[in-house]
Amino acid sequence: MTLHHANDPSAQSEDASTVARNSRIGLRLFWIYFVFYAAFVLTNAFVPSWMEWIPFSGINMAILSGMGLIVFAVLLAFVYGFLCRQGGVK
Amino acid sequence: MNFLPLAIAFDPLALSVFLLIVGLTIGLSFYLGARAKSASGYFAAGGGIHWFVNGVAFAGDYLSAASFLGICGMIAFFGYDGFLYSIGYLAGWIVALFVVAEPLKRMGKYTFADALDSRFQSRGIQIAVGLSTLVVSIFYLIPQMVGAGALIRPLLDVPHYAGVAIVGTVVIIIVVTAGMVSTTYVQFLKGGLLIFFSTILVVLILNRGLHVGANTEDGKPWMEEMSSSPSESKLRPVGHLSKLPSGEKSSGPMGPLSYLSTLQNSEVVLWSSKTSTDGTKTTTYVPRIATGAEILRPGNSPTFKGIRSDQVSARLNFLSLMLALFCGTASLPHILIRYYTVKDQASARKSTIVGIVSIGFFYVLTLYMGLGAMTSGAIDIRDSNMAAPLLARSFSPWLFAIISAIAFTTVLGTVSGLIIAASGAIVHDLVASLFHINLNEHQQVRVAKIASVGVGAIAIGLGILFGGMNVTYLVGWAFSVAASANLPALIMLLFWKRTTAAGITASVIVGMVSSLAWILLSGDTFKNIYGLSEANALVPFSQPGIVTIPLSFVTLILVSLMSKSAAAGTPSPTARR
Repeated sequence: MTLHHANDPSAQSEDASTVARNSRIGLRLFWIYFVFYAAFVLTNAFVPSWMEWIPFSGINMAILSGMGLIVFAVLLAFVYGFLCRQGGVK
Repeated sequence: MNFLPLAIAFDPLALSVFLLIVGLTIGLSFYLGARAKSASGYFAAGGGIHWFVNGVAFAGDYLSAASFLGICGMIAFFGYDGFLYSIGYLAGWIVALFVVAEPLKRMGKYTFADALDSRFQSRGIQIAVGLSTLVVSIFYLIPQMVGAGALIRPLLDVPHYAGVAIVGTVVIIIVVTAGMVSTTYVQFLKGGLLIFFSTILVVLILNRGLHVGANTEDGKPWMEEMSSSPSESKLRPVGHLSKLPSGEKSSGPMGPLSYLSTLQNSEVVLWSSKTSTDGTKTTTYVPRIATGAEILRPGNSPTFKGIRSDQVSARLNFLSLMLALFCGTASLPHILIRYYTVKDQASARKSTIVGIVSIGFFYVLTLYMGLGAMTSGAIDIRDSNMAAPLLARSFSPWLFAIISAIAFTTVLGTVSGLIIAASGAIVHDLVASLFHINLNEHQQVRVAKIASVGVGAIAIGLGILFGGMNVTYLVGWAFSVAASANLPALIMLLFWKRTTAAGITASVIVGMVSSLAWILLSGDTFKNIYGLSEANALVPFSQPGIVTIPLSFVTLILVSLMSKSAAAGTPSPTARR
């Protein structure tokens, strides 16, 4: 899957190769996060009792997985920013 | 622990601090607004906002009444279920960052329709997207106005409708005199202040720890005869622990993890209400003891309790809401137009990352603020939206005044952004395309300001009508409509080469109309808005996203394929210029 669009009203645009590369990176990271989010939502919907399990420190899976998703989103955002940092401007 | 009465009635200290912060915000808004006279300045801040400022302003825009008042209130009343909203809201930013941010900045100028219409120049797209922007903005305005009314009530001791009217009037004045520059800087300041003072609040919660204590009278349920004046209320704040793990009375200061693990093994008194109409309308509030393990697991609220039953429809309702939250963020007009206020795609990307960090940190705090309110004797059982400000009041009237003022400016800023998005859609998408009127820049700004007054008036009316409902629940509806109407068209435009103008137009209209119709025919609307039995609802569950988002995708694909084959070799029949 590639990104394409015809119009470009912005005065400063990244070049086409940078746009395509950023799009590829973004989509990969999106699918990684989507898998974890979908697993979390489906578990809550169909086996909510799993969320009561306490793996360590007296904190249950509901809190651990929820906090984990928030922290994971922040980490992926940093990863995306780091991987896209060398984008060129035409 | 001291338990304070709910009525505050003209506390001069709280009112002074509140008015000072709100006055500074409005003053800043006027000052910056006077410097933005062009259409570009009014609608998109001239594309000159620094990415860091825009990133924090994203947080300011996004952390609206729903996030601060609604989520904290839902956690305070029902525990973990409110935190599910935090998780879903933040997950939506992943779609915004990885899929939408940079393309949208490249393709658009002032409105969301600019981006969707960038390839086709279609009148149909302009009108459909303009309408959807208007509808989503108004849907999102409702909870903001409801939250504002709830905030003003204890500060000024005025009824809900007066609070909504005051907020609406102030916001209309701000928008008419200001624009996107001032809205951005107000959101930047507000977003920063909200996160800073929420952090202080959480530090105070952890430092106070957990205490066992009851503020009921002999454990008897309280009765309230519904009254039109808040000052006549006979209720006092509730929310306390009935038992700590080792039988002690107080835990002392705690860390973030030990707070949660201690609560997991404690017992909390929760309250439920029943309303009966027998001559007079009487609401009975009844306490019940819940274990910490019960509170910190999903399925404890009326919204999500179905996931613990055998009902398939209840599970679908939950999946539908979480899907709408995931897809909705990248479809909200007032968030999307913020991408036009920075200079390029790199700035759009960096500002989104700053937004995700700020918003993610705040959502972690919501769990502690909600649980803190639940156990601090700070809950007004008539209104879940006041949990966070009343929690602040349990520490200090100063903190209450500051938190209330920030929450109020939160509403002002978000409502301003929404009204600008709606008025921008009216001027750029509807006036030009629907009525064939070409306006110069000066006229565009003038018409937008007139439209702002109209949209603001509608928001005031709906804010009064929906008073008393949890604001984050109402925002869930706005997310569903936005995700159904806008996201499928945007995604397919970016990733499917055979997308046509007719396909986009049909997708937006079908997504918007089907999600609106679903909400209006749902059990929650029958019960909360029409006052009818849920059993009469015409759809099997209340959240539309799981049906209407795929329906919008399918519509776009089918109509694109049909219009492509019908118009093969000729220009699109919807082409305008």
